[in-house]
Amino acid sequence: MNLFTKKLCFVAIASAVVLTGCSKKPRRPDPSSTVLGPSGINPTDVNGTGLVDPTAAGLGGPNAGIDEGDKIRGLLQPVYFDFDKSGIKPSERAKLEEAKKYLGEHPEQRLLLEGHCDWKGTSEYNLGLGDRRAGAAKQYLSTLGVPAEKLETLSKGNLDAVEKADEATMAKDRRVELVVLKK
Amino acid sequence: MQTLLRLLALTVALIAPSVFAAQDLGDVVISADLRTIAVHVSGGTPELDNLANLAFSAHGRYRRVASGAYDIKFTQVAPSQVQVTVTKAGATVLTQVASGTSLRNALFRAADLAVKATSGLKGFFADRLTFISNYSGHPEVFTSDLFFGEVKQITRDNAQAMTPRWAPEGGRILYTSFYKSGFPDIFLIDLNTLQRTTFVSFKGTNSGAHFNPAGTQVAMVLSGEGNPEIYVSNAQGRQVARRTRTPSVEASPCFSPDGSRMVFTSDAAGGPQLYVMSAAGGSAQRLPTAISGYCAEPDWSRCDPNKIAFTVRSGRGYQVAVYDLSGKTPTKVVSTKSPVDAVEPSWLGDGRHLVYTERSANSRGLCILDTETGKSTHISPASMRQCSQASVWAP
Repeated sequence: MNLFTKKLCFVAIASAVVLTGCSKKPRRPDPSSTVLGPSGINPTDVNGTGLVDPTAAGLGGPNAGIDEGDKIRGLLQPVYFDFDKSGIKPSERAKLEEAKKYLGEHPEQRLLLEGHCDWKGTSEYNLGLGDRRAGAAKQYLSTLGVPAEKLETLSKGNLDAVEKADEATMAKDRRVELVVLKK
Repeated sequence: MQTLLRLLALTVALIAPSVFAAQDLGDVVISADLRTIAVHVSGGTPELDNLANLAFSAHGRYRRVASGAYDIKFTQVAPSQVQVTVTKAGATVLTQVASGTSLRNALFRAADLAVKATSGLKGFFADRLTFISNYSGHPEVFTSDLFFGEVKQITRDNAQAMTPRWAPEGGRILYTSFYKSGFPDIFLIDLNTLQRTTFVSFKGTNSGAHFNPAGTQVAMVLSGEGNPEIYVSNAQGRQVARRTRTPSVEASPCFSPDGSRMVFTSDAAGGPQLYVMSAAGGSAQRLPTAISGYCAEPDWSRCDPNKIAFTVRSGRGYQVAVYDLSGKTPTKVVSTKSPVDAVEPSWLGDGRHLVYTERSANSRGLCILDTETGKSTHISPASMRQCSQASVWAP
C-alpha cells in the first residue's frame, strides 16, 4: 500500500518534469512533413489512411493481415461453424460486430465473406454449405445494419481445406473468412 | 477347430451373400464366384490380349480362366476394326466385327458385343470418362477411355475446375470453375475445338450443371438470389427458371433417364438427404433411403431407371450406396474398401457397374465398382496423380 503510493507519487512527479520539459521545446512539426508522414506518429492525426491504423489494432490483434493488393486477408477474425452447420454460434457474434465496426470506420472498403468447409463430406454439397455459411454471416451483418452493397459472398467449399487434418485443424476449416476489399 | 470355423464362415457366406457383401470383401469373393461366368479371353496381338483381359478383369460378372465355359478371341482386321469370336464347347456363339474411333476403341466395342452375347448385359467397356486431375499442377478437366487410354487434357484454366459432366451426345462438357471471375461459374467446352463458352455466370455460386438425357435442358445450382437453389435452363443456359425455394442447401441435381424428374441433395430436414421433383418444378418428395443421416451426390442410372447411386456417411467415412426405386431391394452400401472413402459415384452404361472416387487424405483415384458383387478395380494410373469426380459417357 505504502509502496504503491510512493510509486504513484514518483510517476506523477516524473510526468510533471517531462511535461514541463516538453512545453519548453519548439513546436512539433506537422506530421505530414516528416519522412514517415502521418502514420504512426500521432494516433489522433491518423484517419485510417496510414500504414498503422490504431482503430484496426484491436481487430486483427498483433496480426495486421496479409495485403493481397486489392484485398486484405486475416485482418478480421474468421467466424467458425460446427460440423455440417451454418448457424452463427453465440461465441462468433462479437467477430461480426467487430467487422461492422471496421466497416463503419472504413467507409470506402467492403467485405468479402468467403465460406469454407473441411475436406470431409462431398464436394458439391460442401460448395453449397460454404455458400450457406457466407450467407448466414451476411444475414447477421445485415441485421446489425450493414448495407447489402458493402458485402459480397463467395464459397470455396472444401477446395482449400487441409487434408489428413486433426479435429482441431478441421474445425478451423469450417469458417467464413472476412476478407477486406479495399474498394 | 480352425477348419470347422472356416467351413462355418463359408456356409454363412453362401447362405447370406447379400448381407455380407456390404461388409466384408473376403466373403464377397466367395459369393461372387457363384454367379460368375468362366471365360478364356485372348487377343491376336499382345496389345489386344492385354486390353481384353484388362477389361474382362474389371467386370464383376466374369472370371477369367485358362479354359472356361466360353472362349472369347479378338483379332484386328483393319486399323480400327476388331473381330470378336465367341465359342462354347467348340460351337460358335458369335462372330462380329466392331468398328471404333481407334484400335483400342474397336477392341472395347468388340468386347462389349461379347459381354452381351455371353451374359445378356449391356457392355460398358467402350464408355468414356471426363474427370478432374491435378496432373498439370491445378485441378483441370480431362477425358479418357474407361481404362485410361487416349487421355486428353481439356482445360488449361489454372483455376480450380470442378465436376465436369458430359453433354448427352458426347461432344461437349459442362463444368464449374473459378476461372476468370474468381467466383464459381459454369462453362461449356466443345471437345472438337476446345472452345470454351461461359454457360452461366450469375452473382454467387454457379455450379453442379447437368444436362438432361435429351440435351434440351440443364439443371444447376445457383446462389445468386441469396441461397443455393436448384434451377433449370435451356441448352444454351438461358430461360433460367428456379425450381426450389428453401432456406436450406440444395446441390447435385440429376435428371431421370426419361428427363421427366430430377433427384437432388437437400438439407431441408437437417442433414443432407435425397429428394425427387418433377423437372418442371412442384413439390419435392424425400427418397426413403433409410440408411444414413448424410446422403449426397446422387446419380440416376440411364440404363436402369430404378437405380440411384449416391454417397453416404458410414461411421466416420463415406461410402457409395444404391437406392432401388422399385422397392424390391433395400438401400445398401455397395462399396467395399472401408475405411477408405468411396465417393462421387457415376453409373456406367450397363446399370450395374459404376465409377467412383477412392479418397483418402491427399489421395484420389478412380475405380470401377460392380454394385452386385462389390468387386472394385482401380483404373487411374499413379502417373495421372490425383483423379476424381468422374462422369461417364456411354455410346
